[in-house]
Amino acid sequence: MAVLELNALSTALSGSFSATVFFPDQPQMKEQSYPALYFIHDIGGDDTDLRPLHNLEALANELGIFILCPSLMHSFGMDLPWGGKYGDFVRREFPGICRHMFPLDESRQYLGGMGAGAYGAFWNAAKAPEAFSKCLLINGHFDVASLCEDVAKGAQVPNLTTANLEAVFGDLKAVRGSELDILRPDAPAPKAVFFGCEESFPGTEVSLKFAKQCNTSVRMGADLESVFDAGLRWLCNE
Amino acid sequence: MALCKIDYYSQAMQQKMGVCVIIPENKWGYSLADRPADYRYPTLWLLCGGGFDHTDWIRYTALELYAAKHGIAVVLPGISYAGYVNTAEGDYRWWDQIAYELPDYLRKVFPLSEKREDNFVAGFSMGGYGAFKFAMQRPEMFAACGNFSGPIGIIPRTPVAPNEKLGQPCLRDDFCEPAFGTLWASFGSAAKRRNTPDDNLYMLEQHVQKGTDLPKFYMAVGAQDPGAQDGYDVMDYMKELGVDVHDVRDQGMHDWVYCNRHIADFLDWIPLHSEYIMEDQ
Repeated sequence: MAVLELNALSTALSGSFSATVFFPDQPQMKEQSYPALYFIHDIGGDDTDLRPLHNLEALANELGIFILCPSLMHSFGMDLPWGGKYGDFVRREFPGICRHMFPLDESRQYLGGMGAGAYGAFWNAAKAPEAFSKCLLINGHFDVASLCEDVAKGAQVPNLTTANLEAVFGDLKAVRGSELDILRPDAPAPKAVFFGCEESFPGTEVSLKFAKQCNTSVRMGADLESVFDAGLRWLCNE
Repeated sequence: MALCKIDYYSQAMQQKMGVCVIIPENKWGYSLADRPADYRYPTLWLLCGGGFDHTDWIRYTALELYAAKHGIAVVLPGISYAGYVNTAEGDYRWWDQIAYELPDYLRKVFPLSEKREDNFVAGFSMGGYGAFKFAMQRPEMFAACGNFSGPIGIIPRTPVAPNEKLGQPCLRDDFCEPAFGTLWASFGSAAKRRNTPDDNLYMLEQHVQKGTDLPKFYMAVGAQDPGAQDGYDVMDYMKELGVDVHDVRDQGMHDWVYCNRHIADFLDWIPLHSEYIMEDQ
C-alpha cells in the first residue's frame, strides 16, 4: 500500500508534470527490478484517477509491479502540433525518467489506458512495440473517427471541445481510415493486448468488435476493480 | 525538481506514513530520462523540527533548488512532536521508522547511494537532536552531520530538580507547558533516557572513548536563539573531547529563515561528489 505523487521536469512537455505512482510495500521489495505499467488516463481526468480504486495498491503489492500514471491533459497521450509532445513523452521520456528514478525492468514495460487513454495506449504501444511488450485497455473509447465526425457536426461531448480534438486529430472529418483510426483493418497493433470492460460500460460493443479484430476477447467485470484485477494478473502472470 | 510525496504503510509505525524524496534535476530544458538508470545519488537525510512534518522543509525553504545546485537527493521524514524516539507512551516507534525502516525501504525504491562518503544527515531544532542521534547510533552511515539550532543535550547529563524533567533548564521555567505534552509523552522522564542511545552526549562520550570514526559535524546556533548558550556549551564540549566540529555562532533566531540560510551553507560545506550538478540558468 504505497503510492507517491511525483512532480518533475519534462523536455517533451516543456515543463513540469505530475504523476501518481503505485508501488510495492517494503516487505514485497525483494527483487532487483520490477515490471512497470505506464497508464494513460481518460479525457477530463488526470494522474490521480486510479487512486479511488480500493484494490490497486494491494495488487501492486501482491504482483510486485509499479503502476505509473502521468497527467496528460486533453492529449489522449498523442503529440500536439503546437507543442506538448505527449506521445513522445508517453513512449520515451516518461519511462526514461521513471527508469532513472525507480528500479524498473526495461524488458517488462507495459502501456495501458482507460477510456480515451486506452486509445492512446493502443496507438503508442503499436508505434513502439520494442518498448512495450503488452497493452492493457480498460473501458476503451477506440472509435475516434466517429467521435470526431460527431463533434464536427456539433455534438456536445463531456470534457472535450472541438479545439481539444482538433489539436490531437487535425481535420475532424479526415480521421476515418487515416493512420489515426486504429479501427481500420490494416492498423498496426501492439504485440499483446488485454481488453477489459465494466459491465456498465456503454462502449462494450465497440470493444468486442475491436478485440475480435485483434484476435482476442474482452474480459468483463462487475466493476472497475475486478477489471483491473484481471488485467494486472494478465500482465504479470500470463 | 523531481519531488516525490510518498504515502506508504510503515511496518514500524503500523500505519500509513508520509515521507518526501527529492531527486535533483538540472535546470529547465533537461530531463532525468537522459541520465543513466544505474546512477546512485549522494543523499541527505534531513529531519524537521518538532511539530513539523515531511513537507515543511520544502514549504519553508528553497531546499529543492539547493539540492539541484549540488546534485544531492534529499529524504524528508516527518516527526510531529515525537522527539525522534520510540515513545515512552503510546508505543509509537518513530525512531525505528526513521533510522532503520526508511533507509532500507527508500534505498530499494530510489537511486540512493549507500556509500558512507555519499550520505549526510542534518536537522533543525528537534531534528537537530535527531540528526545528531542518527549520527551517534549509525556513525558508519554518514560522512557528515549538520545541526541547526538543535537541543543536542536535551537529556540533562545530571538530574535536574525537582522532577528529572527533560529539556534545557536555561530556556525558561515553563518548558513543560501543554503544547509540549506530546514531547514529554515521547521521552518520558530524563532518568529513563539518561545513559541510553537516546542520550546524545553520553553516546558521544562512549564513541570518543572507543575511538569510533565519527562523521564531521556542522553545528550552527544563532545568538538570538533561546537555546544559544546550551548550543555553544555543546560545541565547546565536543571540541574538548577532540571531535571535528565546524562551529557556527552567528546572528539568527530559532526559525525557518535561519534554516534556509544554514541548509544552503551546510550543502556548500559538506565534502560532496555528484556527477549531476545544476548548470547556470
